[in-house]
Amino acid sequence: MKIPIRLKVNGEEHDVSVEPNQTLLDVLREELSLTGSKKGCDSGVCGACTVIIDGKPVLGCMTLAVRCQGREILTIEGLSQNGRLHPLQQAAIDHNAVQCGFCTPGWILTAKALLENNPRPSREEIRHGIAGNICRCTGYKKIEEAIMAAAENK
Amino acid sequence: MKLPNFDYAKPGSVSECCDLLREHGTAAIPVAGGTDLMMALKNWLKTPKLLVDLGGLPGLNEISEQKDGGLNIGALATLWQLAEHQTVRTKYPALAKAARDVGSRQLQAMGTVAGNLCQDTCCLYYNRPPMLRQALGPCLKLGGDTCHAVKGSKSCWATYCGDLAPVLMVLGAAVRISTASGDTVVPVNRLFSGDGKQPHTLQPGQVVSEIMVPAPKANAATVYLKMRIRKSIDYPLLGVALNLALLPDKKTVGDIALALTAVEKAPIMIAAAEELKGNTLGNEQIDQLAEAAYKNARPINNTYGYTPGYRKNMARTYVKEALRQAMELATADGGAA
Amino acid sequence: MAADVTGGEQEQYEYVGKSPVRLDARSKVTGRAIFIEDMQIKGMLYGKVLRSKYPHARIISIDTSRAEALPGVKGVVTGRDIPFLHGESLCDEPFLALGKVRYAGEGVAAVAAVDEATAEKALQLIAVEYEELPAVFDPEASAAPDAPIIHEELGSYRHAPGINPQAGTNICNRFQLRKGDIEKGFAESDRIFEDTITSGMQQHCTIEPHGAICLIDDENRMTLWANNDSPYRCRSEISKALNIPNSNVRVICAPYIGGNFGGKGGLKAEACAIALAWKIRNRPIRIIYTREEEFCSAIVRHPAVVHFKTGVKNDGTILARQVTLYWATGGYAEKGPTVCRFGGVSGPGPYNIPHVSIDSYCAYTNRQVAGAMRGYGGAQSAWAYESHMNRIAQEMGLDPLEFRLRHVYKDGDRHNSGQVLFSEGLETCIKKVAENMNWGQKPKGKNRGRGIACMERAVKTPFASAAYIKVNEDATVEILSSTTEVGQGSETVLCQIAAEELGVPLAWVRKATPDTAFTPFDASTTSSRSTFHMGNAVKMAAIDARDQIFKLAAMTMEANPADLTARAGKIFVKGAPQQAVPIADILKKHYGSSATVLGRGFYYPDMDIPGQYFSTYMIFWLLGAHGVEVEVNRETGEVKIIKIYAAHDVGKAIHPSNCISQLEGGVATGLGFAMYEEYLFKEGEVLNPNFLHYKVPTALEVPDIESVLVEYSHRDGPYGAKGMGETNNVPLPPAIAGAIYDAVGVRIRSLPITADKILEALKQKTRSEGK
Repeated sequence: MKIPIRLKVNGEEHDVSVEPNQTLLDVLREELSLTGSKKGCDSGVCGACTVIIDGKPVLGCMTLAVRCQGREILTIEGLSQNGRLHPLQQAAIDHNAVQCGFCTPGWILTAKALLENNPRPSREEIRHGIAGNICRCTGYKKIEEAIMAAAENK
Repeated sequence: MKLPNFDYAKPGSVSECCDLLREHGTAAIPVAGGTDLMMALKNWLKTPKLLVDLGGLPGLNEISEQKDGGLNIGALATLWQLAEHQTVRTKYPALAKAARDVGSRQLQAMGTVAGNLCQDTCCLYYNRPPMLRQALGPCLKLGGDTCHAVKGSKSCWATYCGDLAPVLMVLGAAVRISTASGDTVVPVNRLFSGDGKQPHTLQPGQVVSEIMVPAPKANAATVYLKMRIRKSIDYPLLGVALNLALLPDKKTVGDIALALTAVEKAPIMIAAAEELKGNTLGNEQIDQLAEAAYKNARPINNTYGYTPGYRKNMARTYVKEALRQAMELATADGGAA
Repeated sequence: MAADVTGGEQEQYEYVGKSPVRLDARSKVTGRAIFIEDMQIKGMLYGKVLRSKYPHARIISIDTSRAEALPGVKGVVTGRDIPFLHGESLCDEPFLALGKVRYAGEGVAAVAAVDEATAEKALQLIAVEYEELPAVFDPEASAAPDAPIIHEELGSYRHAPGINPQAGTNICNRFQLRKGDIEKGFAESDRIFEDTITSGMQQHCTIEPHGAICLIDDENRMTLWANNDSPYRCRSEISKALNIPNSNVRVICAPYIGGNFGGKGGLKAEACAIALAWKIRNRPIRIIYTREEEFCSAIVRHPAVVHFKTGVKNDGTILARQVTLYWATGGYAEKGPTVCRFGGVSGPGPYNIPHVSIDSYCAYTNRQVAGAMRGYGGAQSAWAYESHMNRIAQEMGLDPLEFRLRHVYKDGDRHNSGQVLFSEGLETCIKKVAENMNWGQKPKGKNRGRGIACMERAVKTPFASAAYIKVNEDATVEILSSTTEVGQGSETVLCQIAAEELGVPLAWVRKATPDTAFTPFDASTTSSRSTFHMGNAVKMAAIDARDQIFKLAAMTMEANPADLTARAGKIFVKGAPQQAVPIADILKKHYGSSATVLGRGFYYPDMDIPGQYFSTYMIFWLLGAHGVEVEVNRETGEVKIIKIYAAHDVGKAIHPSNCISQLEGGVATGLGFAMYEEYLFKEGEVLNPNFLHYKVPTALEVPDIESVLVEYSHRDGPYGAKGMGETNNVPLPPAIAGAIYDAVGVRIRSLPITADKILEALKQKTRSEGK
């Protein structure tokens, strides 16, 4: 049976009715048309569906939407403000850290949470921080460089 | 895959939660962080009628230092909280490390301490989507009558792979088990049944609400070593937790405990460690303990990565390394590091 | 990261050789980039596929009635509803299983329903009765005369020229090459070395799964939206299989494709969506693979078994090499025949050896279908020949570097295929790696060791690429090209080339999404061919468009077209930039009345080539070398990679930063193949079809990489460029194995190289030395 909930995503409130068994990822993508969160493995490993909930990086595919009532959800669509990119997004562009782009929203959000927790991470700490985001294209080097640069420019 | 259908309840208190769970019996499942349960649901390994949401229950997500120097960890404290908590990092660094070694940062942000303890056992033949389970038919854990991992076995060999349990066990931690009618406190190892199919002793209506860790002893050190293929994401293929407390001479063993994970149906304490109390740790004692770990480790071919023989051998090697590290830490200036 | 660019004289270009911001970057970092899973069409149905649980079985019956009766189900299809075969070089694969299943994971039936949950539920209501057949998994066993036959009809399949299926066997292609007199070579040799080296199954693990949406109307007109890497190849395969004209099939690629590495060619999700749409007309039907389907039902890298026999003179000269290669292509041929050919022709390695004998067999097995994957054929054969080379060098007390340099191909050498080589920068790659890692110096520290390896890989030759350049009335530019953007950065590179030639700002140039209704022919976005082939085509199209503009400008400017030049969107007489006229001003005068500017470019390799399909002569060879320093833990067998050194011949780096990025990604994939990734089977069944148990390296696994782009200019490449992305993974595994041997004296001959294998080898070594 569908349950009406209010989801606060990127600062906006959405009233939606969800089945208890719907994942947050599916609700974001299908009900709210926020397709920036990607379904890579649907099993809690690849990190492509990472969103930020109450400041922490969380996997959309492993979260039931019904449990997100009243929590602050940030998706990639909410990261840039009025067309101004977040420093991590800008660094990803400047450091050529994007190839196919499918894992990109996920690692950018993970990195955002990482930097909030640890504003000046070492390269090794960055590696630890994003080791739950699988990227098959870049070999991670340029991603690490982008995060380093974003941290330094803060 | 889409998850099975279930109803959802979000009780407002622990006792309300226990009531619901008792009332629905095995048809209800409690969910904390959900990282273990979600995959079981996606794979249709569990098809509950009711999901009881423990999330947000008041007072259950705190980590607090006690007057006696011990540490109380709320059941719903996340692994992330545990890994980052200042007291945990300074007084129980092995516990913080074990939390940081679980899955990925995202899973640490979601997963809870009690959820990590109460995670289900794993097996390549069990943890699969329904279509892939068809060819071999249901295994023991699924209610069938064959074990696909160990030919001819009448008992389920699914392996317990939690990282926190062995560390909490060697630290002498206890868990508070709440029911609607009151709480009981038991040592951590009492949570585990040793049965791969039904790995926990919790009954319907019981939930873990708190974990109590005693104060570290003087000249003590705890070490957790995790063997795995990748430095992230992976479950342990072997986990070795060791707690060592030396007497004031910083040579004689005052207290020692050793536990292994990922090599049996439950996390296991190595009883032989007791025998080292009152001894100094020479090569003979180190070999003796390593040998005991080797004998007790029974890894089987039900996960990806490394042969069971290698994993068993590594129990020996890792215990020696854990002892070396613990000695170094325990004898270092300032004792507990 | 450290990177440098070497070689080639640096001409002054406006965009070429620079690293402008990727044109797709902004949409990707903001989550706006559209992938197939983001596409919705009104009235779309959702498809799911029932898959075989057996590796080899006859289908006795399929009962779909209960599934069809489920509310929300719009139709169920089985192989019988679409009884046609498809395949690129060998036409052997049904859209859904026909009569029998040949691997566990093969599609048997598919359901279309109003939502995914209903479709999944319906699958459980389909009853299939099978009769199990004996299965074969090892390619060598499968090629043997007594093996159970997987394709009884092999002799009757349609196939491309040059493919040699052996009717009555499981061998779907055989490639042979003889040079010199192998027996004479062995007889004259002082030492003979024999080795068997194997590699396992690897999956592409693109983070984006395969997906397709298919709509077929009742006049047999199809529109297929897909994340297919090559729309024309895809269209041709469909149109041949279903016997409908090309113009009835319109393939539209998703704007962006979330990773490829060879995995998104052929028909995968496409085949399932087509099967459903063939029966359920006038409704768009979508299939998106699950991760399990990616592992079990898409494609994989061919596991290979390679046998060597090499004869060497005491002075370290290789006289003769005999190579026998077996490729496990799984239940269907897919790219197997060409993998067998490319892997075969490079089987002995990029070395001058007087007497050579190659036998390469592509054998069906009852496992996952193997096809193209990054460096296909090359990754397995290089692992084998470089491991073999290391062993010979180390056992003969020769320096592995010097041993290679002595034999490696250089310009003017004759390749085993017979081709006289040109633009061959491999020697430079090897030397550059050796220099960067200070090869001459011993590694510091106990249990440390170093290894070096190189490779060659074919680029598919001869195949064509075409491009149109449409210059709009405001002088902005659209490139119509069927090269897909799969992450490799082709969109940016092609726009750089167009901007360079047209003399317009890069920001004015866009590349259209591939669509067979509008963008012209291209053989494929594979094989690292796009920068070279499509780059040439775009360059030609841009020059053609520029000439047309100059002709128009010449009238207005009263000048000779040949005297004109363009820069920053303006035209001027050479040497007089102060009197520049904006291109837009010229075009506005003519647009809509007398002229439109449409440049055309078509590139086809200009060389003598024996045969017309997948030649063994290559317009260029992909070339590179890696060096590795490792430290091995003797207690645990664990290997710590200290650093990786890589050098690849790019001809000319049009976008150096992208090249480095490709290189680093390739190294990570090579690292996975070398040390982490492996399929686990119980008979024919995959036990680890997920990212938890299949170990793609994370950021913590990939060590420091020092990269070099070797610019050994290609005579025909655009600005001297060659392709480079395909094989950056290839030389790594043998370099690592060589380093491990150097460190602790054990040799691992099967992939992946894991701690347990090393420890076991160390124990055996201790035992045998104790004797």
